[in-house]
Amino acid sequence: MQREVGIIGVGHTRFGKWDRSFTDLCCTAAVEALEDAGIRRGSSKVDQLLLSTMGVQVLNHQSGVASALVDTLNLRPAMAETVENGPASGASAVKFAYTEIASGLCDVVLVIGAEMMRTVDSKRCTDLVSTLLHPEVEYPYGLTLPAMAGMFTRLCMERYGVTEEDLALVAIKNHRHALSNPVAQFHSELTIKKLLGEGAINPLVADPLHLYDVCPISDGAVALVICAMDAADRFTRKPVKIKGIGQATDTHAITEREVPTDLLAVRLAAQRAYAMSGLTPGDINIAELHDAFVILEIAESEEAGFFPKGEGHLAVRRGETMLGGRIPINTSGGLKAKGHPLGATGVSQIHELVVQLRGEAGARQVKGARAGLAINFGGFGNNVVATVLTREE
Amino acid sequence: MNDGLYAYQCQICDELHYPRHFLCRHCGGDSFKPVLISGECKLLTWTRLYNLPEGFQQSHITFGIVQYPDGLRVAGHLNVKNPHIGMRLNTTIGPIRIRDERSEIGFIFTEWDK
Repeated sequence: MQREVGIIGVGHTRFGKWDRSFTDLCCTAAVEALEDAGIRRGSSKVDQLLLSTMGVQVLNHQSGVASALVDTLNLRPAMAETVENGPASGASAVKFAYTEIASGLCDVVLVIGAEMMRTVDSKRCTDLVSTLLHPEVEYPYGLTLPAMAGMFTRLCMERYGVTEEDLALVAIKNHRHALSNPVAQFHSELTIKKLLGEGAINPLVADPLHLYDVCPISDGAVALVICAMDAADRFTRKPVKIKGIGQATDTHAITEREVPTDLLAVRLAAQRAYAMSGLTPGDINIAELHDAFVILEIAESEEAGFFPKGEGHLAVRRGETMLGGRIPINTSGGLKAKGHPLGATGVSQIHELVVQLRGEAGARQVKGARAGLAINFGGFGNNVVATVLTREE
Repeated sequence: MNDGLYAYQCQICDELHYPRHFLCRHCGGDSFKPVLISGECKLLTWTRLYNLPEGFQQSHITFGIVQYPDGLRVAGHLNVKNPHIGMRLNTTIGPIRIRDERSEIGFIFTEWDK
């Protein structure tokens, strides 16, 4: 019989620049999560460690890091593996933790998502991320993820009437949310005047996308302690339940997608997560969407079923996605303002949902939040993982 | 001497692929014949990228995705002064990057000149 699975501990370093080692980065988040769960240091309660990272071999010249972490965290003889699914590695690691526990293989899994992207210059980092693109018909041209997002944005502007001001409103909202998130990379308020006014310092990155429409390059780590619901009473924290997981893939080359403005894998992943959870988009009180480029928050909010296709930007104008709105999106600040350390991002999105569903989000708390959705987006939407969490009474 | 770039047509069901697939996305066939990609196309969308990855020394590159009359879509460099969605373009082939001291060739779309 399949077991139910919940999250009982969370830890999160501040995103931005990390000056110590990759190992220290991972361990800092892990120790915080273990302590949050009430697991004594050095105990043998962790059955498995899963490390989510996209670039550690290139960025830090390390391999076999999951095994090394088990040792330095004194968790031997726990099992250890690294999970890589591009920028969706984090939610994939949580999915594997879920399946290991649900199957009965493990009772407790420690998931760590981490990346140190600022160890290399921006050109090198951009090149690393660009290797996600098709190696024959995209990457050789110098195409990058921002270039893909720029072309996607232009199509959305043409077809649905999305404006530069709509994009700016998403960035302003997420920066505002990040002001009350202590682990966010940016704590700076934005205004339309600052982004689009005369003399604004907001250069084009990938026309029509400006600097403030794009997430930063970040270091950071996040950890979750995930356990069987039937074992949760051994720990101090009440679990937040993993109620549904969905995943879907799409074509590697974006030119092969039937409708170029669709994010089909987001739609399918969300639908699968809803089906598993027994919930609908109308039951979701809070969402963390993968806004590596602010247009993605708008498009994903439509594909996740919160708004009709082509109308996500209208909901942003009406304030429906801000704190206090109908469906607050990216209360953490999102990738845009909280930061986007690739392997950590999916874990961080789930961290924010846990904090919200526990009622511990302070000034950014969504009142009465009972169910949350996270969308973790890999490549330019060719591998997407959706996760639904619920607060159990 | 370069003689063009190709799409791949399934020899069982005629489905056209670009890029090349190992198996046909329609019937699962594994035998393809090359079909030269050339001629007039329309600009579907475009961007001008200013933060280029390692290996590119230019200040910016303009990229476009084009669509051919048979529905095939291709991404490439755009050598056009004032790009706009829907404009007619020519297909040309030229150097897009130098890697390991070798010039790589790819699609460069230019203004339609009949």
